[in-house]
Amino acid sequence: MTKARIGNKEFDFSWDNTFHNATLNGEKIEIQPSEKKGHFCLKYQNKKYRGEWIAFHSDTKIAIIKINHTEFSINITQPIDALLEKLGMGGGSTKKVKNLKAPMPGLVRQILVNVDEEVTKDAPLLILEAMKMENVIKAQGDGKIKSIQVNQGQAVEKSALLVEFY
Amino acid sequence: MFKKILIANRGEIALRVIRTCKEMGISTVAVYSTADRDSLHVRFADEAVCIGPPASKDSYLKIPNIIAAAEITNADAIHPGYGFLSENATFSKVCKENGIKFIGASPEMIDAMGDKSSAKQTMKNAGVPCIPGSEGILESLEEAHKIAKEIKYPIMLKATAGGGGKGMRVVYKEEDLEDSWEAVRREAGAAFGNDGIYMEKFVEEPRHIEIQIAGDQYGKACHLSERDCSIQRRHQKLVEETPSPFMTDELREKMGQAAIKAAEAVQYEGVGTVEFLVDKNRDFYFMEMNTRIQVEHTITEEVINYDLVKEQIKLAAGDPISGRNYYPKMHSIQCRINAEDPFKNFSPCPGKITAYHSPGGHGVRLDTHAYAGYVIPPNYDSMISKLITVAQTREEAITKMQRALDEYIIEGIKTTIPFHQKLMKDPQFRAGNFTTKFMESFEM
Repeated sequence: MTKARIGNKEFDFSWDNTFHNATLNGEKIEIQPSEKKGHFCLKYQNKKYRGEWIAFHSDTKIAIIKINHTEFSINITQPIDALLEKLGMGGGSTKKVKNLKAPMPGLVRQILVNVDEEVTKDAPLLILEAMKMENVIKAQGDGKIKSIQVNQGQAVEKSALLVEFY
Repeated sequence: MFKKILIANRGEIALRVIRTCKEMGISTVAVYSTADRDSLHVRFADEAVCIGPPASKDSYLKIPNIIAAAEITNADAIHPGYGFLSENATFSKVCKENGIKFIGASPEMIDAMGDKSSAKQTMKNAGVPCIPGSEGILESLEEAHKIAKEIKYPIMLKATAGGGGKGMRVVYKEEDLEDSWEAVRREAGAAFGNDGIYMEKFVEEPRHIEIQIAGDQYGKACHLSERDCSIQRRHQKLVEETPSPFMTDELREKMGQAAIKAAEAVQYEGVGTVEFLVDKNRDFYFMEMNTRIQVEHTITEEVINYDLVKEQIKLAAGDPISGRNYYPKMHSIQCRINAEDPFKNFSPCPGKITAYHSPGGHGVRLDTHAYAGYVIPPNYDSMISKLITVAQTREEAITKMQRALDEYIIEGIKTTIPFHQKLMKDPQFRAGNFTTKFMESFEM
């Protein structure tokens, strides 16, 4: 049994091992994962709802889901890794350094690391200038740098690959 | 009076100037970079000239291109807005040489006041109280080390051409001086093309209170009371209000007179601002003088019922001032809405505005260049809108601001609206109990 909280309201939530059938405060919900990753359909009290996983913050255990275009943030008080896995949101708590992408469009002002350098979490990697501000882009976890995809002075678009890790 | 004014700026301030020009029957010329092709100031002006690619140094800071635009459109004056070339002595000089009236300070005045280190000397000589620091521009890092030791840490490094929170750093320990020195040089070089740095003692627990002034070509100046800009983050103003909750009639008179003294010492012409730090004993120190119209001029306009841009244009055209001072009759607050994510440490968030609804109603003013479908470019400042409320009392102005913020919808990008909503509820803010340190302990 999982307890979830939206605002001040608390709900009891449980599901069977197929994850297709769940109960909310004792009432049945049918969950049908859709082909699109992170999307699903719900049937509750004979009504159908469209759902989408938006985000899950593993540190705070707050899940954000969208039901019929409205976003809800849900405070989950029990482990839900298995459910997340099933719905295409897995890997919530394992921290592996991924490739670094530009969080915003901007200009690469300075590169602070070299290829093959080992960095630890929060190490400054480069300075990206956007909206007249110098933004220090930090490592999201420990890792070793495989390649640097940009040059100093280069303008980059949002989500452009900046640094590749092994 | 001028027949045609070229506005050498972009965004909301370009629109702001165009509006007043229209009311005064003056034609307008907009200039724009290729990144601003779809910007509102381009559409609202009578004429528009493209002056270069997105990077500021190749467009809005490129003097020959702007002068050429003024010549081909036959503009007889240039309004520089704030930022960019508004306090650039060379630009003011080149305008003069080309027979175009620069609506702002003369090159001599900008050198005397816009250059912050020499401004301090001028003020000291005029008898305006100042903060201890370096005598002018620092020659070397060694000199910086020496003076910092004399006036004691914490100290502040400031780019002489800086402004708007760019090109300055507070240094608390000797071992951090070198890194900050390099950072300020780099920022200043990139943003203003001038990497001169000076130093001053960092006054702890100060309030930032500035006095709006106006001076005419005949050496006469007046003040238009204060603005409290203590709510700042990294020296970037977020919220301004007038009157200051910390102000007394006596202090206002003293600061007003000091500001007039400052203006008359340089025979200041046009509208300007004298910034002071006020400590808990209500002693005040001259910080700097801004020889331009400021972002927060709006709240002064609201409480004294006066169009400052119109006054600025009239003063540039040679009109005299009456010489009387102006005092607030109402209370006004301005929230700067930035394209930044307040939940992610105010990181910049340029991009496309997908849905937009502006607040309105009694006592609400909105100065913005934003609209649904507008793509905010990453090349310029993050401020996209100024939301201003005015009411009989501070409490009413805050309530009105809360209501207006709740109505304001901007989708597609993150903005600082949620920050302002939270700030307006903050008990310390509501009590008027804040210093420039306020944001350091404020949690989103």
